[in-house]
Amino acid sequence: MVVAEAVVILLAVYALLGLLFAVAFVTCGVQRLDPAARPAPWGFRLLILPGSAALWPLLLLRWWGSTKGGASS
Amino acid sequence: MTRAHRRWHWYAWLVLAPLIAAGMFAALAGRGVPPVQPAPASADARARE
Amino acid sequence: MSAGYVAVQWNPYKRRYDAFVCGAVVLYLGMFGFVGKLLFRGEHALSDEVLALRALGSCAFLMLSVVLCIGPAARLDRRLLPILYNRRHLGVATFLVAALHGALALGYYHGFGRINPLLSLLTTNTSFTSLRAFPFQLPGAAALLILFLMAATSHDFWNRNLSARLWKWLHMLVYPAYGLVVMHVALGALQAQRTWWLAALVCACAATVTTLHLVAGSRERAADRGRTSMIEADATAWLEVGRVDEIPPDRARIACAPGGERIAVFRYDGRISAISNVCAHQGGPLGEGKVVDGCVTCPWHGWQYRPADGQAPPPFTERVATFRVRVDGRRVLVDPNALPPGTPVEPAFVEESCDA
Repeated sequence: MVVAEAVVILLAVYALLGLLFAVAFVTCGVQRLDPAARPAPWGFRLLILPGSAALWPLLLLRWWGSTKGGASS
Repeated sequence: MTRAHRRWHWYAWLVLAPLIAAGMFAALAGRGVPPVQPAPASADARARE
Repeated sequence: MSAGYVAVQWNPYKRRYDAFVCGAVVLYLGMFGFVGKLLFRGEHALSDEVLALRALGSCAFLMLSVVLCIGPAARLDRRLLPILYNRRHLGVATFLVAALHGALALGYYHGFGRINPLLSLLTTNTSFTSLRAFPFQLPGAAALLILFLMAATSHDFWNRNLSARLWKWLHMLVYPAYGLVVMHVALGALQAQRTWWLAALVCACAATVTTLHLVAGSRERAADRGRTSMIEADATAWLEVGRVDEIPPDRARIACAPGGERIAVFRYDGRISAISNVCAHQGGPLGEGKVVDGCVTCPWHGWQYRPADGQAPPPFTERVATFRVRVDGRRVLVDPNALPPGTPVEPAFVEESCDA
């Protein structure tokens, strides 16, 4: 029961952080990561929102990496 | 697909095929009395008798 | 291709495909409900929720089985390639139907209580050692999670930004997901429903999916191991592809160097060019595509490359590896050492009039 509770709480925290990240990512992060997404319409941004929320740690690392790379060049 | 990919697909099914077959066999062989509630379908069979 | 992203790259074919899938799903669910109401009457009548649960669950299982059959079936019979073309929409539709089934099950059996539905799902049944009372919901939930990840990352943006390698790995999880779904059905529905035909149907679906993959896989392996003859000339070991007239116009013949990747050797406009058989998009078999408007067109998603330099026509930027070719008499030879993607190579010229 304790383990199950921990799993559910972790899942909820992960999803909540993911959702917050995803909103930020699809509005301003995505074009930084992939220049082809600069003129992308809102339909596209909405479509990648669930994936961004699910894979947010990975994208956060890439986003961070791209801003660092952008600063040095 | 690359050669490596074809190989991975092949290995995946080599492992998965016997697992699915064994799982199906165990699940069907292990069927006994329904655990929770009688299946409505059994009533269907009774009606036909 | 990737000149800029849109939500869905619609075309008339995709619209027809999606309309057909939507119609088929709605028809199936409607028929299931209608027949269910007809068969189970009086004291055995099923509630609308249970009927919907079964309709959605069986629909998702059948859809997933069909989706998984398309790949190997199209490799065995090229006439099925048009179904493969828009398979990703079918996959997303499968997830949506499965998600409705999962949400309904969670709400109906675990919702509206004092315990969180997810917590209730994880803790209500812990008979992991019993076959008959196994918590079959858990493999179903795991499979649904995989289907969600796949549907959520189905856009080309993900293929490009997760790297093609990671993307392929993620999407190969559909195989274990299918195993989990089969277990979900075998330990759930088949334990409660004893009709022989239901068990037979599930077994037939699983057997078809498994057999098709094994047959197509073993054929592909045989093709990769196929015997090739090499010819030494100009200090290069040239790979013999076949005779010029064995390559149909605007089509390719696929050569395979020992231990190497496949090479697509195209004949078009009296010329012969060789490029990698692996599309830069999702690894589609370019050599099974046609030359359309002067460009090699991938049979999977229609990505295009110029045969002489392996570059996608502007504004697109994708490139595939090219190979040197020469024609010796009527024999076509290719240098199996790949040149860097996008390297222009002089095509070998052939006289079209010599065709038998």
